[in-house]
Amino acid sequence: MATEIINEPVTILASFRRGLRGGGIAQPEIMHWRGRRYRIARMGLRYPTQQGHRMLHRFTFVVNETMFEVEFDAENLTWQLTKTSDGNPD
Amino acid sequence: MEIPINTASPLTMHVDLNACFAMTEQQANPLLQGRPIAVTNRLSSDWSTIIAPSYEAKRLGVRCGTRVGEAKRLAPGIVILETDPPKYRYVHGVLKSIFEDYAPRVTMKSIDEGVLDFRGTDYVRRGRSLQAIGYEIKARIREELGNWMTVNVGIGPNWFLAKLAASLNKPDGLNVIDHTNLEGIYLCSALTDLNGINVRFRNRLLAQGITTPYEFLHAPEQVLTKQVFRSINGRHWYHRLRGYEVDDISFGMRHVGKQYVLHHRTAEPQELRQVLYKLCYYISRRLRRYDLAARGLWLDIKYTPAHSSGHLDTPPDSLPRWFQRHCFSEAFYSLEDLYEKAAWLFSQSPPGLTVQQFSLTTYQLGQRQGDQLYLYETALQRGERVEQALQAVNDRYGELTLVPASLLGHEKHVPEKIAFGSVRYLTK
Repeated sequence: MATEIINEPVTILASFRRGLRGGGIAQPEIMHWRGRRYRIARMGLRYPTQQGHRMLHRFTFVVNETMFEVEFDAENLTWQLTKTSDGNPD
Repeated sequence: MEIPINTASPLTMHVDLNACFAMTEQQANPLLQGRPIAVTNRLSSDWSTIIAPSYEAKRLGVRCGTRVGEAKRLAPGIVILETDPPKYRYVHGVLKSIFEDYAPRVTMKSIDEGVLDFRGTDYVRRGRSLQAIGYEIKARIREELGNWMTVNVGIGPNWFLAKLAASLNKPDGLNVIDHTNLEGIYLCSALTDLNGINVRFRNRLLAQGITTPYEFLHAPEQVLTKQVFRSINGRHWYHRLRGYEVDDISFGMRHVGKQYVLHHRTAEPQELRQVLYKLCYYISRRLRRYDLAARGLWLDIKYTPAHSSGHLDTPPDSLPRWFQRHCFSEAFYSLEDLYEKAAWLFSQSPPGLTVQQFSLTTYQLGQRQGDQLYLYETALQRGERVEQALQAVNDRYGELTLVPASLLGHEKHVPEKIAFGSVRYLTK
């Protein structure tokens, strides 16, 4: 495996705090996927992306040598696991 | 008359994100940190060029412009990734907003570098050095984007010297060049270390016996103007090298275009017109977004060589090429107008050849004028209203949600690619 496209709904427990410039910072803390619980310790990047007016926030993080990318749909308030990667070439 | 070196305080800061795209990808996937990776615009071909190698890949000989296949040979195990514009757009936005917290005038020179002009600010009067501000900016970037993100900071009396200072001690450096150390820096630099001196200009300087930046600095203005550059550029270099500002100019948007390399190479005119239509769709959206109308249109087509079966490994720079441009009397911006003109140019291209790459560019841009009002609605106005409605639906639900019937079955998105060094489409 290198990169695997998943696109499955997941349950995320996230924290929200105030950032340096007045905006908020959201951070996933725990993810439930396929009956397993993942505690998120190492964050990668958060960045927004748009599909029309729909704002999707992407978060990347690492758990047990696997990188997960999840997407938060700010319109429908849903989380989706989009892909995983072990960091090796495809 | 000889002009002395500028002794003014260095108040221009250049901040440059190291190996921007590669570093952003390493930040997004921490498993890639410390490993050779590279970013390209197209993963499917070994002839694609690397547009951003990580520092680890650079150490193994991978450079900007190295072909993907060559990069894999130089750095076995290298991870090659395709560009992901939303990530870089976000990083660009964060950098810009951090810079604007410190300087009243910020110019983003490209997606990953900005110039902060501190002239007229009271930081220095309040006893705060620009070096301290530079270190604070570095810390802010790490805090807001992630620990892997490092920048080079250069401070100088003009943009040129600030950029040169930022190029010293990569990665994660902070350097100041002013009148006290300028000659020393020139003594231990090469001509091509200077931003704007490429191999061609270096050869011209060498031909006049100027072999180092130090000799370049001490060359008479007459020699630079009359013999080396043979233009006003010589005068600009004479001032630039001494720390006087000559680069503080900006240009408006001069062209809007889009390029597309076909995955499925074809000579079929109907299919090619659909690709052309999609390019027109994106260009028309951009023109509308910036309230621009164009008068010029340039179509550039690259073909798969006749002896080739059209596979993906044909080097793009050696392809047969046809191009045609035309300046129209009426300005245009609507999708239908644009497509009509593009199709007319396309109809003049040689038939029967397999197309590999389309590039369509509008030029002679001007602000869009209000449409003429008519007492009764014309077919043209009705068409415009339909197009506006189509654009509104696509604004709301995403690109190509609603497409003209002629594109049905071919709605596949033409992916956005990042033009390195360009911030033209990042501001809106």
